[in-house]
Amino acid sequence: MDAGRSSGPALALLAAALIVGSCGAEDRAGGDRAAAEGVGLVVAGSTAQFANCGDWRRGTVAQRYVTVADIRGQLTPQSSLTEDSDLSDRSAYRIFQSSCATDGADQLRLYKVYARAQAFAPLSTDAGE
Amino acid sequence: MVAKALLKRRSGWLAAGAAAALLAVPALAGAHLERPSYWPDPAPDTTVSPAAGGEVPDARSLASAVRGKGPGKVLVVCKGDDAEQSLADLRSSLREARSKGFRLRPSQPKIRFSRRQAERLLWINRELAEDCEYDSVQQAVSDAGNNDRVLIMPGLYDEPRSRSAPENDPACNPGLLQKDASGDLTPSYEYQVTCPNDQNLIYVQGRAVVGDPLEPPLTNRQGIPAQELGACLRCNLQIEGTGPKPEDVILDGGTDYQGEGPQAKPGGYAKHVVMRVDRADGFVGRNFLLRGAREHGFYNEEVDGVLLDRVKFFWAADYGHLSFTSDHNMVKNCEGFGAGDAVVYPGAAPETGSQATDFYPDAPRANTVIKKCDLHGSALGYSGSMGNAVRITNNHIYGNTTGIASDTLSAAGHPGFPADSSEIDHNFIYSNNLDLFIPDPPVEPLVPVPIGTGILYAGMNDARVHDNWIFDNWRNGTMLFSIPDSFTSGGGAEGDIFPGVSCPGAPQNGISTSCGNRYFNNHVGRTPRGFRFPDTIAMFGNAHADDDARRTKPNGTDFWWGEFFAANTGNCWFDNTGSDGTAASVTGPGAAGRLPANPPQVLPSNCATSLGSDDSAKLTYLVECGNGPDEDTGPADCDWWTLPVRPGSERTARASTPRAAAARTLERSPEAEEPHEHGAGHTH
Repeated sequence: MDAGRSSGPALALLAAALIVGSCGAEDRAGGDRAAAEGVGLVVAGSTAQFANCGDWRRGTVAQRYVTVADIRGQLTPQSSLTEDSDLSDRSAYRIFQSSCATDGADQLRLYKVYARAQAFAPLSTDAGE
Repeated sequence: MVAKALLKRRSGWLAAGAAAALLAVPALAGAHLERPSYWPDPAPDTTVSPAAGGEVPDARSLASAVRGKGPGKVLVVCKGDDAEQSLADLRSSLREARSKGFRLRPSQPKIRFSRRQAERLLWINRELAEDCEYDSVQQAVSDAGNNDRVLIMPGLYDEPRSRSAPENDPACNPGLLQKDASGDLTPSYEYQVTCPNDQNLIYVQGRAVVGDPLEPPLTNRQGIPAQELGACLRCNLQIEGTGPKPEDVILDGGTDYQGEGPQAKPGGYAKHVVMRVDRADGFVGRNFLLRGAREHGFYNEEVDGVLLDRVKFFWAADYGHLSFTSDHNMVKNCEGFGAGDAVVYPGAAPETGSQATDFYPDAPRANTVIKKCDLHGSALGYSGSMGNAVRITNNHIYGNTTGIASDTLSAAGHPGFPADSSEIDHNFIYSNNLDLFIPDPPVEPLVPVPIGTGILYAGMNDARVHDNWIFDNWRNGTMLFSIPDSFTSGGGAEGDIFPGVSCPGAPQNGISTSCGNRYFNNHVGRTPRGFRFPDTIAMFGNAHADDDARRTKPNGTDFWWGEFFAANTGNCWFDNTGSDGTAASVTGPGAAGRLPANPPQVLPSNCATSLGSDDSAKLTYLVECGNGPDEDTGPADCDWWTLPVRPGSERTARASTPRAAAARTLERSPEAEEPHEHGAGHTH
């Protein structure tokens, strides 16, 4: 019950920082190393529930990676001790970029897209890159 | 373009993964994020009298509220001084009910009030007006207790005090968030109780808060843990509108409406949920409209005993109705449209079917019934992840992108793997051809689902689909395919898997879904005699057959079957009739989208001998669809995101030629054999 003890958001930020650190020019373009939240409406300290393609397009690279890590955590079973996924955050990022580029995608919820992609991941050639 | 690439690859293993994953697409339509949730004890709670739960509650009549008979007290909500505004609205509605009548559901005949009926309802409301003490539904609910009734007189209730309640209220956030095993946070039950209008326009707290939730949650989700199960506070509560029709009482969570009237579309949302009913066993909701929610119109969680009767769900951005981990649950005489996901969604339904344990001594039985509803104008009419033992009967489901989707994908928080024992019977499922994958769609889709599909089972066991009329769905009347276990989620099923999984060899062989499903006595590609489309068939530009007396209105394919793995046994189709009224005209198992399926394309009719035949074209098709919407339109690309050609037209025949060539190329390739081996080789 003590949110202060939760490692979820902290890990998300750490993950984002590590990933963003390797993004080179993309990171500089995003220009938001201090991003503390993912894209979309924040509910209970998380944007996983509501983040959609419109939010994704408007976010910086750093904010997007925070979002990916947040969604990954929310989409592992509640009784699972880890937040590991067969879908790498980098692959998830690429999938969101692709899915959000089509007509009518503004309101597509990212977590619903992620869940499908995560299912795809165990056998995908590049999901774990 | 994945499918094209596959044709060139030496390694075919990607195909299997993507294919199985792709099956996740419709299934995930049902996913949502919520606190760790438990199925309530199905036995009645006898600490209150009458007992709460244990069965679908009976609604008490409106007239009985003015006779002064208990149990419970009556709390009246109204508009205007001395309810004058409500009474004026009532008189207006009664005049219309007398002169023009109204439709409870668009597919049904008009209901016209007699003079006697109108006078009686007016008298009841006048009596209630004298007792009206509230102008807020939430305030009345907060003052209610066990067995009480909240009666809402005609009017629009936008609940200003609830709207002004802060979201992410520091009084609750983060202090009352609860953690799952890996530390992710969700609002706890106590969060909702303490800050009832943080997310909800109207919140019904059913039980007292005692103790903290278990962190991490139990893997056995049968029974709310005793340490957090408080006494009944609002069990057997009934909330009811007092007008002649549901639209007379609008519970409204929207903002910035475009247009006038009950069907107006909101431009924004004040709250996530219009009405949330939490652990309130024996709840009855009747005769009102829930409109305008960022998430859901109506949401019940961990409830034993729910009846929604004559309730409408308009313009919820996610689900019109969402019930979760709830038992003895019934929704009837309803209508909904404008949902970005599904109009009605019973998710994580209790294991009262094939996997029932002695926790459910009266199993097998349906735990949820959806009946006599019009579900239309949405991405999905119905969906349900882990929709165990749900019965869908006597509904009209039309004008959606996909009519019904029920699946076994285990998005986090959905106990009940794998889904089984769904029953879909005596429904009218037609013209689900709504294209929402366009710029500025009239309903913003939250999920990608295939345009033109009647019923989609993505990983279901022991379903019974019978005695339905299924027609004018331009892609497929029904779809059935397996979800290999390794693809159900990143971390396996949520919670315990109970015995009774119907696929032989499961779970060791990794194939726990798509076994024992039976389709029989259905009329496909043909309308009932004298059928006419409801006026709402073309809502939002939905494509449909001509509204004429001709009974032949074909589906693209009547029964599409994935035919995947040999472990998929017991799926069978028998005693169905097709577009000409005979069994000979039934079509299936269908081509793989733009690709034809392997021969002989015969639907098994013998349930005892049926097994999958490893159709490579279908696997590859599903691989491509797994990538979601894109702009590719080649013969081997997924076609789910565009409106199919109207069945039976010349364009349909012309379009099939290049697809057939592409499929033959694939089916002769070495890769065609590999997906099956890979998909079947994974276990948890």
